[in-house]
Amino acid sequence: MESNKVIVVKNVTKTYPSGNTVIKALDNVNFEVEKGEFVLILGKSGSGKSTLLAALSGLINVDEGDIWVNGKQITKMGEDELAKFRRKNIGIIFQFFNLHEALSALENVELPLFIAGEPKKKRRQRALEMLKVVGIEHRKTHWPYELSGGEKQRVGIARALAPDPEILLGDEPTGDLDSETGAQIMDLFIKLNKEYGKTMVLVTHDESLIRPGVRFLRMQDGQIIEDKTH
Amino acid sequence: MIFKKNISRGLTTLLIAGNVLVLYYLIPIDFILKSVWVLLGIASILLFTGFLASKKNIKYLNPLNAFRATKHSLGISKEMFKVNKKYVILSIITLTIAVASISQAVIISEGVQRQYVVINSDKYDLPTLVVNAYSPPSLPPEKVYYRQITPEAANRIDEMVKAYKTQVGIHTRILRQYTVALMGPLYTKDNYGTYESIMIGMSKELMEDIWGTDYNGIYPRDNSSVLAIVYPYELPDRQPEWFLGKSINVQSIWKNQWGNEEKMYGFWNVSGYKIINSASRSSFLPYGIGDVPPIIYVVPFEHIDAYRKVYEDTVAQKIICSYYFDWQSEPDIITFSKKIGSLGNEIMLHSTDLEGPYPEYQLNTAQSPIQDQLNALGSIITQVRAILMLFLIPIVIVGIFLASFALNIAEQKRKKLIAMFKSRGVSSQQLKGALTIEALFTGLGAYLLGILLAGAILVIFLLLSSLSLVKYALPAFKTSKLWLSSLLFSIILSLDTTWNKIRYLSEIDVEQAEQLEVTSVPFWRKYFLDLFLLLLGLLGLVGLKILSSYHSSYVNTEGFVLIFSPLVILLLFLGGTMTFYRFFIPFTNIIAKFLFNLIGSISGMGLRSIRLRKEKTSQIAAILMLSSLFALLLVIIPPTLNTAYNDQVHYIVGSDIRVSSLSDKSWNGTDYSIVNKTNDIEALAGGILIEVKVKNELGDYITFRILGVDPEHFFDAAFFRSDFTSYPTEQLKDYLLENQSNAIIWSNDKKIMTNDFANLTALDRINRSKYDTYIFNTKLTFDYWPILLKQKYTELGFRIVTNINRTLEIFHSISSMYISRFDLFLLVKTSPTANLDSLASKLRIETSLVGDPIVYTVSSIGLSSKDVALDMAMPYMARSGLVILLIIVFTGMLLFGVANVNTRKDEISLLKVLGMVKTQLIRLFMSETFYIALISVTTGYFVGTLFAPMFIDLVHNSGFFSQYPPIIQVKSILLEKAFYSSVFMLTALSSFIPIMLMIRLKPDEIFRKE
Repeated sequence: MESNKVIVVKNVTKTYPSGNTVIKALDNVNFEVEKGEFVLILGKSGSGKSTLLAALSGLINVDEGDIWVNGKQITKMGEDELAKFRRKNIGIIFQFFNLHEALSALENVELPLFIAGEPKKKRRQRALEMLKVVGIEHRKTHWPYELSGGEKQRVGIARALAPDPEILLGDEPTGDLDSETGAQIMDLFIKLNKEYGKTMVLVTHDESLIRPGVRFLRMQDGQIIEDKTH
Repeated sequence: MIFKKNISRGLTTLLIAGNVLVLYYLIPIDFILKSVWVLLGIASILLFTGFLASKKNIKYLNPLNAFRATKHSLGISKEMFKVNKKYVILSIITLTIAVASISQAVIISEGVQRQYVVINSDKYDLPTLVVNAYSPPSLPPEKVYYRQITPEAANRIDEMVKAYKTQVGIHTRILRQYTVALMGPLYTKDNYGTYESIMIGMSKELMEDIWGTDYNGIYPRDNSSVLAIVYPYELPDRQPEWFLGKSINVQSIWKNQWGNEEKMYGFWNVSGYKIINSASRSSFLPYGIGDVPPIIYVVPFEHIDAYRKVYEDTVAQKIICSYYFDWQSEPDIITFSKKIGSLGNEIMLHSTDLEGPYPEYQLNTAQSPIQDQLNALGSIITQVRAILMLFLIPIVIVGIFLASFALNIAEQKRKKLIAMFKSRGVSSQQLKGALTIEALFTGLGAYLLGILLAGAILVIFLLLSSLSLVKYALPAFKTSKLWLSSLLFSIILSLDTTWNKIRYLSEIDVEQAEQLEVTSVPFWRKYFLDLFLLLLGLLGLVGLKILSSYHSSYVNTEGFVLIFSPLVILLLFLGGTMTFYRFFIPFTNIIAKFLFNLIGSISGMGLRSIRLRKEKTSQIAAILMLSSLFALLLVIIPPTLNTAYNDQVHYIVGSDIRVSSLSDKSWNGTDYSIVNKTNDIEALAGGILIEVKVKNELGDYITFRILGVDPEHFFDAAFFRSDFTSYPTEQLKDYLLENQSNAIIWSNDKKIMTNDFANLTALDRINRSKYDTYIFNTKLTFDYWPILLKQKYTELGFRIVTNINRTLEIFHSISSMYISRFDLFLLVKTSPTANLDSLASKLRIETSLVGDPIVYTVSSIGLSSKDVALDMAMPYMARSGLVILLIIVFTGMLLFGVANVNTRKDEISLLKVLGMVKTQLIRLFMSETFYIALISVTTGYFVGTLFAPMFIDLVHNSGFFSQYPPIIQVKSILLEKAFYSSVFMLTALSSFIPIMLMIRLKPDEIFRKE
């Protein structure tokens, strides 16, 4: 595999049983993402985009095909191996933020570093840096319930950035935000892509997020029907 | 009123009416109580079905309406079950465990009674009782024949007594427990014919009922049952003559070998705790006739074997009796005797159906006399039943809590399901009916399964111990108490835990069902309801206590206590836990916070969790509560029983005990320590065990074990020994040689025949050198004793320390029992009304020893006997109770673990997504569960200790449970070890399934979270 390609998806198919039938969530999907690229995966509900993201994260097993992430064939990895791989290589940003309610903003950002076994001082420092990057270091001691939607998402982004992963995956990251906040978050993503060189793969149904220079893949019925750069 | 429609009314009517009928026919209670119960049932129907609320509701009395509505609800219920099978099954499982707990306790308690009867028979190859029928001394009787009590016979006699109770109207509680234990016809043969006597055991309460509770001096004063031997012959017409409260003449009739009636006048010695009939001593008989067949012999159960063993090697008569009457003021002895006589006749008639022939008495040489005594003193029945009854209450509480929690889980999951039904047009009332039907079926299912589970566990444990024990416990399945109590419990529990939920769920609307959070209940209603239940339970508890202490010839208060005890317990628990839970949420929050901080730091998470989500707090509080209850269960017994034990059978040795050496160096009573204290004079009959540690010249401690016994009792017992003329010191010598024990004979107030001690000189001097023998005397009754004998024994190596002033009979009678076990015999004369303080003051020993002062360690003989009984009883019965307990707690922790994982799915998914591997997750979960269990179990330990007296009090005073206080001392050290080790075990075992669920959780669901 070429070294500048951080994601390679080859002939990936994923099915789900539904009663007496089988639904193909992914149907022979093929695409590649280069390092530093910003990719949007568009599609309506049920098109398979979330399934694709989950497959890229290694959170689900595919029925056919292979997926390489950062040169590693994740479709051959075991569960624990995948978990460890995710720690260092992939940052995930969720639609509904998924912050730990019992932890402060700072602690939420520390969480992946703690799981990775980083010493306390180091992870605290890193977490503070990431909060600064996303612009909410002033809210580091606040609880998730005290944060606005945009602030929560920023914390989520900071948490995804904390382990310094090569790739950031986002599942409808602006889906639960108002348009203005969503635009701000999108700008942040672009900043992370351009200034920090993060490879971004975001799943969304919101076509307004398409910006100049952003590549988008349109999905329908589990297949990629369009692959363009705006 | 809660229910206003016909479905609920119909079902409630059926339920209560059925309950009333079941109790009416199954419980052998008197007419008055039955009438009251029926009235209560009618009132309950009117109340619960709302008829009292409005006259308009009378139309719903029509059962047809109720049945029609029920039919509709039945259909809905079936459909709901199909969709919601697992929750119904979950409910049944948890209820089954709760029902199994109560069922098992009842089974065991019923079975133990029989077990005791037969165990003794099996163990000693003898009937459990030895009866004595006296023949005229001029015609010494041949050996007494004994009968082995088979379980079938015991059961049959039990039935006869029950029938007798119904006919005669004796209160059930009186003859309930041990009446038919130790039964059987016994025949003594003499040269002229055959005597028959029947023995029954009767409780102290029966005797008090006969003579009245204000009957001064009614004996026995201990709380055990007594044994009465009923002679089947009619009492003479002639009124017994009373000797100034001292004795009574009794005329008895029996048949000689020619079939002619012979009459005998007997002389009854009545004083204290002793044998009534002393007619074997011709010198006591005014007419010189000799023995008279006794009419009634009464002896405490605990001492039966002991008394028997006293005379094991003689052909004479064995004990048994101890009665004290104020003859002059109480003529009812005749009435009582007639009653007992008629019962005895009936039993004897039926006893001819029992198997024969009668085996000849065989002495069980494998068992030492003292061991027998210790076992008897231990009172196996009381101990085991007490333990199990103590298990019962906490197990019931935990079972209720568990079932309630499980049903709560089910309720949360079913809101949407119920909303779905509603959207299809099912009315709230139909839903209520469906849920009620479901609750009833759940209860019934749990009822049957619970009894089976309890029986299965018990049988397994009995099989593990001894196959023969199984058959003695199984008859308990025939008892109405088992089926009835389990049914009541199951139905009540099932309905109670779903009562409010039924109303809430059936009134939920579709929109509400879509909400994740439970609709909040008004503050005032929440707390009011909890407090109301708690208050009701406390009032019920007070009422139970009053009822159980009230004795009446007309009203069976025990029946009320029997019926209402489970309800009171239920109310107390529900109200108490709900109140605690709601009022102390902040408190549990603090504990939870601390816990998570602790977990965080210890488990290495390093995270600070100050604020917790609401669900977590609830879970932790619930886990804490359950584990505390578990701890309470395990620990309630040792301190409780310790408390009870401490109130029962301890002794204090007076402060004036002194021991001095031959060098006349005196020692002050301040140099000893007193271990325990009791005010129970009855323990005297079993003896006081005093350990005396004496430092000799070399600085070594010599331990003397002193047994104090009631000389009054043994003095009279000695009269009936046919080997009276033999030298008892021969036996003493043998025992000394065989057991190499130190023997100290001490007494006061009684004469001793000095030439008997001369036999002690026959002891081998070499053997004598192996141990010390001290002879204590208090009073000098023979002038030559201190001069000649003291010198003589000193030469032999004996140290004469006090004067002995006691008849040798006493010495002989006790020596055979105790010499092998104890080192010192302390004969103390007491009066029946003397308390132990006066006893202590009588224990004045003036001795002299060379060396340092003596340290006395005083304990009750009961202690060692309890240990023996504990070893015998606990392994079988108590462990099966523990199994139920562990099952309950395990299931509870399992459910909590599952609930924990279910409510934290998103958190677990997040951790997985962020890269947490399986081992990390497992470590997190296990550490949480472990620390929660450890902290709550420890808390429960102290809570259990705190509330133990209350529980033991309830057990003791409640007619539903044993009315005998527990007297066993559990080895608490062992329990504590098991207690804490069980935390590890239960954590590991109950975490297995939740961990599997956690590991299998798909983290990709986090992407679909709404």
